[in-house]
Amino acid sequence: MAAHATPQPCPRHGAPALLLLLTALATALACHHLRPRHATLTWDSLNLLQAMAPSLPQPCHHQQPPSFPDTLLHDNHTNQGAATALHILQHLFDTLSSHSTPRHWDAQARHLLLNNLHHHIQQLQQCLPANGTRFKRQGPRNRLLSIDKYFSRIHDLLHAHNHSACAWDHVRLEARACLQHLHRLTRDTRS
Amino acid sequence: FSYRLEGFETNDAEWKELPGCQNVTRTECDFSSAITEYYDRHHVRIRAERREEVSPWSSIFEMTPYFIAQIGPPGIELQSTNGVIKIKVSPPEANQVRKMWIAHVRFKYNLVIWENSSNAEFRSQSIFPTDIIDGLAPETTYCLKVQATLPLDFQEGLFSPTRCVKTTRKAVNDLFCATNVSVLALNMKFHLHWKNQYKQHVIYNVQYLLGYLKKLHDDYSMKWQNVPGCENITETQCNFSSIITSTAGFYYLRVQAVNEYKKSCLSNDVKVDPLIANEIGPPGVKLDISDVLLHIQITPPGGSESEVMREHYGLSYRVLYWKNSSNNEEEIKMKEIKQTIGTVSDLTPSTLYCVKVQAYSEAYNKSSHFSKEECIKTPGDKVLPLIILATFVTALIAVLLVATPVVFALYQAYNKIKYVFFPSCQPPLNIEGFGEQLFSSPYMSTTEEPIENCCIIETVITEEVNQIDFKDYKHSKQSSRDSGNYSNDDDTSGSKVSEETLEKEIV
Repeated sequence: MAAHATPQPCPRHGAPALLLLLTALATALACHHLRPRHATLTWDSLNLLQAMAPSLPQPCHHQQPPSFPDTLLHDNHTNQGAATALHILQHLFDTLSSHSTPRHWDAQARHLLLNNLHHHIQQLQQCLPANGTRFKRQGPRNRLLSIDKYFSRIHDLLHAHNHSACAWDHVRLEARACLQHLHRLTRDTRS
Repeated sequence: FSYRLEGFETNDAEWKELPGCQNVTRTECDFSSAITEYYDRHHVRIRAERREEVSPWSSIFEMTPYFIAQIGPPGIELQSTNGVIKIKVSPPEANQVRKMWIAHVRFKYNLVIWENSSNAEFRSQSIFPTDIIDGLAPETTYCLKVQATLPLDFQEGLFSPTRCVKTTRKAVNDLFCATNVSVLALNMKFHLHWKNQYKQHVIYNVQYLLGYLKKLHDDYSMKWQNVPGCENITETQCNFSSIITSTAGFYYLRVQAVNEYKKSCLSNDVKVDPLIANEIGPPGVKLDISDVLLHIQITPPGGSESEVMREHYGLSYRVLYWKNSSNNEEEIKMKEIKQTIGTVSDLTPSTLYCVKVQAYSEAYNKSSHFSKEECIKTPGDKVLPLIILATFVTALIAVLLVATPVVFALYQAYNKIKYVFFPSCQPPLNIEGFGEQLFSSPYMSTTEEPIENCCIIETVITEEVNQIDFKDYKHSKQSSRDSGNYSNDDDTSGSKVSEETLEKEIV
């Protein structure tokens, strides 16, 4: 795993990078009329995540966490915010629907969280053009790629630690950070 | 000639040999084992070698594996049953540890199906990993193939190999199945309705499934749950509001019908997106009027559920108001507000205004029916009654001012007339009967007097002379009464009487 000395865009502590990310994605989300909806959906997801997986009683010693791509910070284009958010949500949905999630996680809350994420994804997909326009420039493709890279590292982490409770706890924290950013973003841009 | 390949990743310091691609005699080589980072940029170069001679390195070939990779074909399992085809799709890279396409839930599967005959039409549809293909003719062979796509990445994968299967005939015993399953929802109260042409004894169980489960590659057939309150029922409707715990998320519902022989039949799945299926009911309206403002108080639709509706729909209200007069040409005005209190100004006094309100959601493009019409009358002009009162009082005073002297004058006139024509003076008492005797009978009864039988001729003559000159020296006679013929008291009355009688005759 290559080590990047970059700030964490799904970071758990505030950072100037975070502000840039928020600003970028703020101008980037299409479907203005759905923005309040997005804010509610991310808020609900956060609550469900908390209900599903409360903090571990014994703190884990986390290794170097995977760093979220900083290219997202420089996003200026409106249409791509929805694509970025959608990409992140799809990965979250995929990760949390894995069969190897810890047994002590609340099953009912997990069901509702996954249903919520799925619904959010469907809503965002409506914001994007049906056939899509292939991004002309490399930038947007790189952006989505960096999200894939980030989640790929999370999968590697889980695999390396054999899907232990500690590894999953780390994943939980990353998921929470991502949802918090998405929520702050959609909330702040609500008209 | 043999070829040697070297490559390096972006973050590597130097070129490395690519394993399995040293001394290659063909003009192609598989160097997959050297690629570990699918998202990083890789550089590859090649040169030819012959014994001791080596060519210069070629130009560098740059690539990111993720961008040039193609999605492979998915796996298919088919089952032909009851006139339909059940299909189960397994994703490409299903059992690989290292995946190029992580997040397999992202795959959207595209099915292409056609009848195995000449000039067959190709039908293309999107399917879930576990799905049922219906709308097919029974006892017919169909061929199909599936591809996995990633819409966000603009990737369409390779098609699976074509598979052909023959449909069975439809079972005829399924007349008792529930049909026309539909959802009716108002103000977040959800009801499922269905029909059944089989009139015999049938029991129903309504089941639900969380929507996301169909997106996963796992078999969800065991994950259906019963809707509480709709188990073993005989009615053809079910209130399933209790399972809609969150408005974020789809649900699938189906009806299981069981006949008296314990044979069961499942209806089609109905997808329910709560906020889209739900209809917004009309709001309540209350009107209040002050001097210049009409206050409209709106009760959001849904009662206790209104919090949910307001929060998720972002409800706004469309207020229509108009003057309700006999002239139907009055213009209907509209106002759109977000709050539950609205005001209308510019009111005409003493006019009946009517209002009706509709709730709507811009985000969901939904609007409710209009509420009942409520009407209220604006108060009259306060100034006008004052004017009327002032005018009345003034007129009253004016009338009084004019009438009083007139009445007084009339009264005076009346008194004068009464005085002249109907005087009220009384004559003195001593001549009280005077006027009466003058107009009463000219003849009076006299008392009998004693008559002496003697005749006095002189007296008669004297009396006649007295009679003629009576008028002339009546006064003198009167004045000298004492010395006259009345020396005798006994005769006084008699002579007097006779004089009076004579006067009467003269007059």
